[in-house]
Amino acid sequence: MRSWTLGLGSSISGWVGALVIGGALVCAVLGTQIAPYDPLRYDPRRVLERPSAPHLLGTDPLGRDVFSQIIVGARISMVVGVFSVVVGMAVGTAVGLVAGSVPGGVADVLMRTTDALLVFPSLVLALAITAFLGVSLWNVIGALAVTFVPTFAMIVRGEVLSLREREFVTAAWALGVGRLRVMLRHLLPNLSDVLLVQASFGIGTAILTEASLSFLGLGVPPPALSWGRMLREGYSYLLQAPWISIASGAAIFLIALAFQMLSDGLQDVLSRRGRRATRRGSAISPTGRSRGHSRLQRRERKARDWACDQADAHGPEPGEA
Amino acid sequence: MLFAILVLTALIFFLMQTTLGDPVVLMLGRDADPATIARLRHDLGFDRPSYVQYLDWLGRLARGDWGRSFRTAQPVLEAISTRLPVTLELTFLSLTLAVGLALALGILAAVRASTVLDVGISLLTALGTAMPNFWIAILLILLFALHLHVLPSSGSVPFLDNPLGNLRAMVLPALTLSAAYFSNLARLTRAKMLEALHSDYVRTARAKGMREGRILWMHALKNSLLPGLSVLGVSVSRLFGGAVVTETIFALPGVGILLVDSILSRDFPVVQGVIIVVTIAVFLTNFLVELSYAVVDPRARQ
Repeated sequence: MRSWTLGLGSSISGWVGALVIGGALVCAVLGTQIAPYDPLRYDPRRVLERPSAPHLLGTDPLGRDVFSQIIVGARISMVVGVFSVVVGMAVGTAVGLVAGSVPGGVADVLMRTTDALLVFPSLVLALAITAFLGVSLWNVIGALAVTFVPTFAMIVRGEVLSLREREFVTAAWALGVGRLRVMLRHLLPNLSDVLLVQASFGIGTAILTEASLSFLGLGVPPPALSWGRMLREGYSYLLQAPWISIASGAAIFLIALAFQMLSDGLQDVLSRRGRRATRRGSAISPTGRSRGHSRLQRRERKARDWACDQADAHGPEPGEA
Repeated sequence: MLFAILVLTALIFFLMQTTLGDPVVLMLGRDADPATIARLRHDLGFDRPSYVQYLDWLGRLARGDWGRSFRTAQPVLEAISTRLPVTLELTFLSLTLAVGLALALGILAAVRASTVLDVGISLLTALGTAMPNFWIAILLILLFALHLHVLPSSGSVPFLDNPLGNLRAMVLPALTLSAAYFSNLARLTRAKMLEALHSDYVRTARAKGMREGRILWMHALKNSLLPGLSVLGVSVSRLFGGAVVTETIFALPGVGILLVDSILSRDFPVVQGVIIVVTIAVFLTNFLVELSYAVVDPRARQ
């Protein structure tokens, strides 16, 4: 059931968000193939035309079709959004896992550094990094990824700290399972829900920040089409051709809103599912996917079953329901 | 706080070092005699370990020697301090506006929960969180400056020369910058007020026959302010980020526009200076917010 509903279930806002994101993904993948005009072709006879049937969103100062530019511009937003969050999430999760499960000085230094970065304005951080590295697609992605590391590290650490007290983890420790294995097989699978919600929210934020960077002239350089730069270029013609800025701003707004709605929808559904799961007294099974027969896996399975029995016997833990 | 400032300044220092390359080679050129390079490097202290150089650099910062701009040769500290008042005014006005509106609308929405008014307010706050501030700015300029001609679209005059003109120029930027923070804060205020209004102590107060207004202001509001306060600390830091974009759009001569211009012209001493100022400002406000817990929450005093 979950496979075709994407885990969204009955969340309407989640579905609306997913629909808009799906549309943007189609635009990002097909790009120039579905755009009515070549978005980069100059046409001196059609400069600054008002929106009309042949040019749905009008034309820009060089006679290029704004609608086609919006369609093709989805690619940069999606690429920057997805890649920066994936990189930031990978690094942040690793930092959070280590900080949450390795005791001592390392965790302390990691978390205090994370705290410092967390309160620093992310746009200024991204600006500073692009200032020193120079402007390119990968530098923008890298700069945004850095701004996501502290958020993910903080969330993952928080989750790990509460998971660490659960029976299936203490049982794994007691059986002498290695630290790395506990992190990867027992803790990581239980983080997937939180990470999914945060990643969806993060992509929206990344798209907004990329647009801000492009608006300031420090985003992905031309000839790549970026909504933020369109907005900047349209801003100079605000009185003669407001449709350029309004359309590109609306595109950024819609996609950011869609990711926020998807994130909210996922959050709702997962918290409802989480409540049901807690009532049954089960955590996500760390070894459920592969019924292995090695001695270690059998031991872990036993530990898990024991943990589930304990949870069943005591009911849901306080504060979880 | 001190640790955080150390981490961030170290980050800035090492980024500068790796980006700029060897300053001695930059001064003498690539073809210079190796012996001369080595001598100058020793004379200027660039052959010392990098942590010693970092501490030395921190010492110079503390003494007020922040270097000079590559572009204008103006001392960095002077360039920043002449522009700081504009940014401070903008952030202060936005914060006041955001907090005022958020409290008013948040309380209103909670008191009139599940009415048309409540739905309208939640719609407004939902729009505020997702709308990029540069787009809000452009829509506001279109409406108030280009169509209604009631407010200026860009530029600013010093407050002391023309207080009214200064405030008029600040209306649209402050509205723009406050939108996102106002929305977050209003949603939080509404949620916390609702929680408080359904709590036992409010029911007790009602049972005692206390007037509804007194319940609202003395009991419910006081308890719902605390979470807002912690959000405020983070918001102030985000305000500095938003100020960069807002100043650029409205051509306000503040620190944000200085940062963007310096990055575009690769004027590294100024970039570094602005980032340090933002760092100090962010941690100072967070420190003040933590102190203010003691005022609002008697439990924090112990």
